[in-house]
Amino acid sequence: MIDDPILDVLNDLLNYDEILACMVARQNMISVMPDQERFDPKVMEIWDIIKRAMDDVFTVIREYSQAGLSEIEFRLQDYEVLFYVFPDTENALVTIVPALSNKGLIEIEMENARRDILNIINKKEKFENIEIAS
Amino acid sequence: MTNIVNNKFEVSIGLSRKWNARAAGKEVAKEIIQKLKQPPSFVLLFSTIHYKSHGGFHELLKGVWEVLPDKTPLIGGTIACFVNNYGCFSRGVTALAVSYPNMDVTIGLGKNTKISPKKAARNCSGMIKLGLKNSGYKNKLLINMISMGKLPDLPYFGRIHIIKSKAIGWIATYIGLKVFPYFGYGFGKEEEVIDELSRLIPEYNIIGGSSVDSNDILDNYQFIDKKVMTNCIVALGISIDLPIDMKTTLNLHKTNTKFNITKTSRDGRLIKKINNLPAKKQLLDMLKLNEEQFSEFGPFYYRVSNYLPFIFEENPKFTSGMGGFFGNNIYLGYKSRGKKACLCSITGKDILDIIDDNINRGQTEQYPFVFMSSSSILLNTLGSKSHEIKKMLDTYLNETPYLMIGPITENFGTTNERAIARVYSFNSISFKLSKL
Repeated sequence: MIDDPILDVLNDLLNYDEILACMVARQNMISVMPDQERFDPKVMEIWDIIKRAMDDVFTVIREYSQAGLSEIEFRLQDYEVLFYVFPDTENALVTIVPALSNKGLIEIEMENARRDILNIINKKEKFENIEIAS
Repeated sequence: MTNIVNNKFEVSIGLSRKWNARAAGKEVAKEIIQKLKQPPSFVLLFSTIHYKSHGGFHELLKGVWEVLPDKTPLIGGTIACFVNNYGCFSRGVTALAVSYPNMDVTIGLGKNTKISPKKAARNCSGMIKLGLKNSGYKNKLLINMISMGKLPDLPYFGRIHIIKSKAIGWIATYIGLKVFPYFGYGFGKEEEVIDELSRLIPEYNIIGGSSVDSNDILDNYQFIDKKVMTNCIVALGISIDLPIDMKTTLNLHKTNTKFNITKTSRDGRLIKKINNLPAKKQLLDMLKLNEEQFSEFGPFYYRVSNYLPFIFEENPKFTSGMGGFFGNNIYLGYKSRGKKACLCSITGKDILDIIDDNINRGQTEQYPFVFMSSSSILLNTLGSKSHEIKKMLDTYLNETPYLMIGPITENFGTTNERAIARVYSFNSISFKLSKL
């Protein structure tokens, strides 16, 4: 897990002051998550309710990602949860930012992170295909 | 990314995404230097604010100068975002280096733009004129970065952006605005700097912008030579044998919200009365907003003000943004240029259209590079769709090195049309290579 390049991308996102938590997840499953000690403690205080709300959103993602759903977000208490869906999958890059933050500039870097993760996934798949073929 | 034309005109673009300031400076400088065959004639260096808390900007410049040949003319500053051949970013450092023999280059500096904007412009233009006085090339260009306004961050009050209390609003208006500049806070006054610059050096084409942080308006820095500055204008003067090609585009939609500004402060930056009634209440009534919706910086600035720029019917090429409220007064980013104001709107499509209109010139001319300056508010509006800008630039410019910077506001002018500072426009500059 330590050498997971997707984890590197997520850890990089956590360096931003306004990104309080982030992960790659799907319904009922967090695929890659940085050390929770790096998450904002206030987010962790309401993590259970955020997690439940996230799972409900993933129902929508599962339903519509094949139809082209690419981004979705909700506001809960003082936070906004942004989902950047990986095309044609049920997985998404999820970040939690303060409500009313300057989202536009954050979104630019979220899109960069989504692209980086996609590249990593594609490379992995390519590598796995080569292994199977050989 | 590099471009070498006839072994004469060389351009390189660098990027570093490292978080450590020193390492990022070194990496970006290495990248631009390694791609050039000749030492650079000048370097433009732009960084996001993040390095402030990851080593600091002195370390960033130390890293750059570990690699850059001594005495290379360098200017730059902090910006909110940028687009170059490598991508679209709101974090990192980027640089553009040019090497060309038939060109003279010098740097200019004007300090204390918030206290004495005209004096700063005089000092800066004086240095530029002196530095290029022996240059025989007829085409002149000035690239600049100016410190934008800074919200005071005071104990007990925090970021003073919206003051509801009439009494404190009065104090901020009549005392604070005079005192803030002495501490490096208050209005940026970039429009005064640019008005004076274009008056003093009308023979120069001008392009630049206002340095900023991540649009929080708390901090900004300018780079010149090996120094990190704040509250000043830094400029690069270029005298070159190649013709300069420049274009500005603006496309705001007028809304039905039009009103008469009936009383302003002497400098025109504060609107005190609209239709002879207290300005704030009038404006909020017109927008159908209540006090609760703008009690904090975020909701007002990121959700309202950014999307409703002002224009003035008497001078429609000037634009300004609403900065906030002091008591009953509205303060503007740039001073009002007329009495008949109109609120405008801009959509994501409008933004992409002004870029398309600016860059799509039929590609009849070969450019060694393209340098662009446009408000970071436009990219903030587009959010993740800002990557569409990169797609569009790649389509039109192919392999040509390019750098678009996102200061918060921009300035632009040619020898035919005097430079102005404004917001929501898109500006580009290059040199025509047909002579090479």
